[in-house]
Amino acid sequence: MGRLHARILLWATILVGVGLALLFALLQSR
Amino acid sequence: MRRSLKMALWLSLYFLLIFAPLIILLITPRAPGREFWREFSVALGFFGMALMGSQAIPTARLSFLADVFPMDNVFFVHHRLGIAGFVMALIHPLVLFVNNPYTIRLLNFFTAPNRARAGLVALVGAAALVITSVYRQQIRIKYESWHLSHALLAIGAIVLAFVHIFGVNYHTAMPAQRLLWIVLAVLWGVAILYLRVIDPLIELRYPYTIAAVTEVPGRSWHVRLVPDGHPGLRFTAGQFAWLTVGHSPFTIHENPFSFSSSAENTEYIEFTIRELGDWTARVKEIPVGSRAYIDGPYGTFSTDHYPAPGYVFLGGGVGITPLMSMLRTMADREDRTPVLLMYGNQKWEWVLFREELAALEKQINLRLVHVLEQPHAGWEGESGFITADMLDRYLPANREELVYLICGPVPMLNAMDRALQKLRIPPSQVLAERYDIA
Repeated sequence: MGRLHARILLWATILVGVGLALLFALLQSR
Repeated sequence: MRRSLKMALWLSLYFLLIFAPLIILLITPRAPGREFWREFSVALGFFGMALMGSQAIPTARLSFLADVFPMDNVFFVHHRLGIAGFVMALIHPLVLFVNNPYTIRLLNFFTAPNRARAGLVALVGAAALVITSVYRQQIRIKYESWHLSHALLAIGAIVLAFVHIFGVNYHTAMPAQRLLWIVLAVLWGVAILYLRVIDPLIELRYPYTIAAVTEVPGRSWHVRLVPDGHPGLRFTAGQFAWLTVGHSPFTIHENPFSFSSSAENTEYIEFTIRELGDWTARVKEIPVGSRAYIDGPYGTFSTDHYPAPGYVFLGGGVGITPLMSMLRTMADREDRTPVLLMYGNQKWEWVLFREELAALEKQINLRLVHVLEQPHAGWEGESGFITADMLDRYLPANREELVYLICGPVPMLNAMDRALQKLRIPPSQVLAERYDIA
């Protein structure tokens, strides 16, 4: 695993996490 | 099992842990009709806490992870995800305040309920944790003091975060939700317990004695250790270990160093240490006969892990140590695989292993190129820094088949990464060992 893979992994984690948080808020506020 | 498969398995499990609090929110929802921003804020808080707490796992030196992932990247991910977790946790109350300004009163420590107080102190602790880690050198905190405060702040912040979420007790009220957070807390706790108690207990059974501390060029020292009452550890050339001298293994006074001795040598192990920081400046004061402990070996930076028709070693300063271990091991094994070593140093007087490298050039299939940043009068070798053009002149025609191992200061590693990219060397053939893991 190189540094580039590590960076991709980091951003993917953040985006997926924020995405799941948004999805939850959306479902919960309906 | 194949290495890439193991990597995929551990990564999936790790991300399952990080996303579990959000997944459980989605599958065990409370009554709908709540405000969007309020719920988004809560989810971000949970995500931030899971991100921060999970950082106890990659740094616990678990051998099943250390055998698969390069340790410098593990620490890189630890640093960045830790910061990301803090940012999420910080956005959590900010979104609440913007959504409902009345909630700002929760910042008044004297009138706020305990659950808000706990959340506030946890956040302040996490801020201190991040600031002291990112700016440790600028604010001149000693490595050992930082290490201790890092552990205490992390544990304190996480405990208070638990007091906060269980105090609020809305999205943790259902048994499945409570169970998940307890499981996460236990996993994080076990990682810390392993690193600070179980691992040192294992080290205690395998003590070493400092057999010699020898000065070598460039404010550096060879530190030789012999096993005391046991056969000694076996490592793969290129690996490193955490070294503790004069303390019990239950200490934060430990530092990571690459082995410089041959992996085939079972009589002693040797580290070569340059005076670069607080602890390394005192290496020369270590009395011969001192008790030492070794936590290791760790790391995947090794020719043994990456078979190839030939290797290119790019070393800078004391970054030569793991490369030297590999060269010595090749000599002991009478391995004739071709190696090109380009070794950058500030000046000739600082070049480590000068005579031994010259001797190895005759003994194994090694081509040695010294590169001096400040060459002395009459120097006929390469000067300046190692560049893509310089590499281009020395690399053989089968350059794309070779494996490249780089070890040196961070600016050098970045420059080498760029140079090899320019020469169209596949990134999968390039391995780097960085100093800045701690």
